[in-house]
Amino acid sequence: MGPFREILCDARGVGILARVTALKAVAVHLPPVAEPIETVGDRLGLTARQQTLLRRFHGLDQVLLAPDGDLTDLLAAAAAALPELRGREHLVRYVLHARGMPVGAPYPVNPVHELLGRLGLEHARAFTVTHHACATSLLAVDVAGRLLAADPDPQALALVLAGEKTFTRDAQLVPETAVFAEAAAACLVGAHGERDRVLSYVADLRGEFDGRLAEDRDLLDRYQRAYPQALIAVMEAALERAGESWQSLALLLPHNVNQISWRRVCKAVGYPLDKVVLENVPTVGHSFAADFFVNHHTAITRGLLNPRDRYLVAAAGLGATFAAMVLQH
Amino acid sequence: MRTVTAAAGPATAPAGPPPGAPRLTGAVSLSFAAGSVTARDPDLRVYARDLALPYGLPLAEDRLAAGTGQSYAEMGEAVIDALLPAGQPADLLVEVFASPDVQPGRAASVHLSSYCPGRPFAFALAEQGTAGAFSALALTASYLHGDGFERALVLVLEQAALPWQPPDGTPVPDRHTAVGLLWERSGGPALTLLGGGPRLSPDRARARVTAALAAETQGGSPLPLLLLGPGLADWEPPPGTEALRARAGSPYTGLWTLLAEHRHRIGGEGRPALLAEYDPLLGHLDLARLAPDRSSRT
Repeated sequence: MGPFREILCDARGVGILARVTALKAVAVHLPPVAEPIETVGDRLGLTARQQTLLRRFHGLDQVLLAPDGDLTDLLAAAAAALPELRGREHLVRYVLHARGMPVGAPYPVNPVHELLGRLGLEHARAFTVTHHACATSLLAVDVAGRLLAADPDPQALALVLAGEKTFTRDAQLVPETAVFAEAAAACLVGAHGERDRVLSYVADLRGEFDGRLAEDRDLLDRYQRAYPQALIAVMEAALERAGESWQSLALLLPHNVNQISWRRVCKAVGYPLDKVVLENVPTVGHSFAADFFVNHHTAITRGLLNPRDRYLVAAAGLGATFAAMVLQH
Repeated sequence: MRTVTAAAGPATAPAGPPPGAPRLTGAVSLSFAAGSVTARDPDLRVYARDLALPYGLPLAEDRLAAGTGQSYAEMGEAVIDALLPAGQPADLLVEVFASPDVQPGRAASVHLSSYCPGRPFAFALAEQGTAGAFSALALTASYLHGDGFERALVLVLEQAALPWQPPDGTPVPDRHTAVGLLWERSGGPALTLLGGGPRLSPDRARARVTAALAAETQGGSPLPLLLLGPGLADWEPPPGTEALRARAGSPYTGLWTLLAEHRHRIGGEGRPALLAEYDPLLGHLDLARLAPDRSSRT
């Protein structure tokens, strides 16, 4: 295991290293087509046993897909679902695409820059952050906070977008684990504000799991064995850095890879499963780095968070990255 | 960072570097004549086909068959070997690319984290053209300002074998190049990002570089050494300016290769260097100053 890299944010916004990173608004775009796991499995050539495993063991039912439109369209739909962006375009300094697939458009096609014109954000600096796979949205929020901290305008904002197309087999399936979906999300990040402040962010990069799980049985086995403890370790480190514990934690927002892995993790740490937002796993599907925001949106709309509640976001990405972030609502 | 996003032009008076400005303590540029064995992975063709065809871009069958592309992970390893030979630990590694890796699905920076002394926190920044490296430098300044981050490696990478045919006029590298820039809290020229502007015409970009040069000499300061990226290769700076020009065939690493090759002049001549880069696709201008560290020249 490598050393943790932790990025602390002082929630009080004081001190020489103080930096507030706050989620100002989160919106989600759920694509219109719900495809049963068996249909996806047939398309990918999975055996009946493999499909049964995904449904009964992993708790998957369907994935939401957007067969019409490209990546730019998908991200634009997410931004369009964010009414808090309207009228505040001039405050947006940065637009970041938190992307799991390192190359998601054929150069020089550049979706995040194509978006700027559609959204009235031509003045913003736009780029993609990647390589943390499905944990990249946590990275993007932290990166956005860093950039905003250096901006003299306290009202400055960053728009973080997440969501991807399932354009190739590697973007459709994690062997024996998950099937990808195409939900997308948009999140406005600010360097001030009381709601949804980041308290800690911890990431553990495990390059020993670099490789293609679909082709390397040994790598897949090693990754699956290491996964629970590695994820628990970063979650507990993030909790500790935020002064929290499993007992005081109000809610856990997981990545939507499957249900069984979270049942095992929760059992191992003694955290109640009913405090984990798992309802999007069977109904939406694992939408790359967008899961963070998809589940955050569910938590807010269902009233699962009270003011000052502290909650944990956790994700793992192939390659591999394990990451966790504690926020205060 | 605030001047990076300024739309009002870069005509700021010269000033000392901001507190905690990153210091350039090492730089190397490596070119790679041969391709990587990974360029012959048959799955590259599948990935490229699935990615490019929906956008109407045909595959570059000749390049795919030749297998001459390069791997950013392997290029990054070579830079780490060259730049951190004594096993100096790094705390941060930021990989920057605009044109794609020959292993497009690989999280190369995470692999490089495990290869690099210190197992640095690592990620990649992409799809910002020539501006990507400047954004990486802005983030580097943020990390070096915080606890636990004392040495940062910024990798700027480009490889020449694009597996699809891009539209005419697309900047495509003509060779594989990897540049490593090592930044610390002390010990070398100090970086100040001066901004530039988005979506500028070439003429407006050149006017802003001229204004930045004029601002640098306010108060009798010496003319800086001017380093021009490939996007400004055909621009003639004002008379009396010593300008170094990046090679045109390295659209995303050219400026940084120039910096690596002339780094010791910046530390030794007692005058700053002004770096200017313009992206012809995105219209982005970026400017930066590297000022010699008078307390500890390298």
